Amino acid sequence: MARTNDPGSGCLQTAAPFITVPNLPSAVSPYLETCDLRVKYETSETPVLDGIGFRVNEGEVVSLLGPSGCGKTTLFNVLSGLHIPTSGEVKLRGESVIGSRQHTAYLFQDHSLLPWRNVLQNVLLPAELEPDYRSPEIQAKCKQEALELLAAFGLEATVRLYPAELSGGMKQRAALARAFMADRPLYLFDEPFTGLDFFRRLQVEKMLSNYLRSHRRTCLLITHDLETALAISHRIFLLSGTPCTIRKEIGGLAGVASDPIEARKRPEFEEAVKNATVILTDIFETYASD
Amino acid sequence: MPATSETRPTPLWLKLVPLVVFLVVWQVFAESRERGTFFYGSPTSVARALVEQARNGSLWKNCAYTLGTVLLGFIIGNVTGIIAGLVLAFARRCAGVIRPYLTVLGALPVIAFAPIIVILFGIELLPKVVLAAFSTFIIAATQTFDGARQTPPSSIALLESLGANQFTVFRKIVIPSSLVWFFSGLRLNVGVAILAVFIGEFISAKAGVGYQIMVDMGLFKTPAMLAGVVLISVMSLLLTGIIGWLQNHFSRWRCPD
Repeated sequence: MARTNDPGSGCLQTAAPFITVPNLPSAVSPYLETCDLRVKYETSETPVLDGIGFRVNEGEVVSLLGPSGCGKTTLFNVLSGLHIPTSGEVKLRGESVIGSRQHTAYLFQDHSLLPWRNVLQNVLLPAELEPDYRSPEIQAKCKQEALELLAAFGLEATVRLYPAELSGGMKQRAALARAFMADRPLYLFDEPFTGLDFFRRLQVEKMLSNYLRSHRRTCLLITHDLETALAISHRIFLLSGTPCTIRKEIGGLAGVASDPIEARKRPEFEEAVKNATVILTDIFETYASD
Repeated sequence: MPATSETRPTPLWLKLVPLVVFLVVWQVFAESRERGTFFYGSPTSVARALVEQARNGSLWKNCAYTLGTVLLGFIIGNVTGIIAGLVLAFARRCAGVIRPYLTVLGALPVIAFAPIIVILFGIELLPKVVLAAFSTFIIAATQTFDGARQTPPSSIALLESLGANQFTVFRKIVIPSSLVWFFSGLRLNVGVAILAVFIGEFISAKAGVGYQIMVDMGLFKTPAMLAGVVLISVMSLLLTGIIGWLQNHFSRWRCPD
């Protein structure tokens, strides 16, 4: 049974997963670790993040599920180096990365495709920021890599199109391809499935999951959809409202299913949804007055 | 999606109907009055004046002088204005100091500066170029600055999250996203540049369409004066059309076919 994170301690020790995940990647020391993260703005009396602590192993996909405005995006801004926390620590492979912006690829909630660049040019953007991109050989190599990424996400026919010509699902996939072009140790995806209908959602979930598994990428994912979180993740952190803390941690089916579609077909999926719903309801009733 | 009456482009003949109606009404009005053409001109008399000016060469000489002056002032004013606008957007503290002065200068009528500029720069080509450049500089700088400040924060955050420095963010995000504002400024500045040169030629000149209009006004040659107005209109349409073509070329991503 999952133990709750004690806000006072600030550092989450290992919580037993809600669902046994026999294939969970293991590591001697955590790949990503945060300890007692706090963010408080001068204009507000209540901190946005209040003692967030967790560990993530290499190759894990971890979802963050919580109410709107609870501080999930603020947490991602801290992890990506865009925001310095008031206190606390963030370590990647044992080294502090607070304020550093070289270690994450961050997919924002609104995909942020640059409208004046076509799909290929958008995907190449992270490569253009590298110092060695001026070399024609590197440029050719990057272009080939971008085309392969676009093919992996089913976008080979849209290479020369501009974002205004793409559907919502295509934009999300193009933004994902651009994030993976960055080739960073940690991927942060803020609601990558927003605005997608059920079928497009399944399609993007499968493509994303396949890419993460095949390249053994470590990923934190914000989503409002419990089923998506269970289908695509190894673990799920259930967050409270402001100030944001991790109230419970449960397991997902990423370790036992080959992809999110198969996860949804497994007999334990329905049970997992039901039990997770009960937990979420308990959290809501317990902390609704917060 | 099939074209509807709202989406189908307006045919050219329909756009010309108001002009044709106006010309017909004008012609009938002028001919119905005693000495109507003398006082009010008419389409046919204006056309005859244009043909006469083309035959004696004054049309080409005056158009070349005015158009050349407009282009020179337009290019200098817009290039310096765009650079100034971008510099101000990059140096925010400097912008806080300079921006109010730009707003005040932009509100002043260009005709207020014309006599001073003539005194400072003489009566040849230079004062007209300076007047056009100064007038267009203000608008170009203001539009560019406002456009740069409208850059979507998420686009800036995207590049910052990838570790780009401020200069790279400016080059890859701020400048391209301001393109729409650049071209809006250019369109506004066509009329501003022409007006500035016109006023300069009114005050002191030896050639140009504005100068010719002044001469014809002194001789009470109404059709010839109106011919000058037609020439200015054609110049304005030509420059606006070129800018529109450039805007469509560089902003294909906004209205894909």
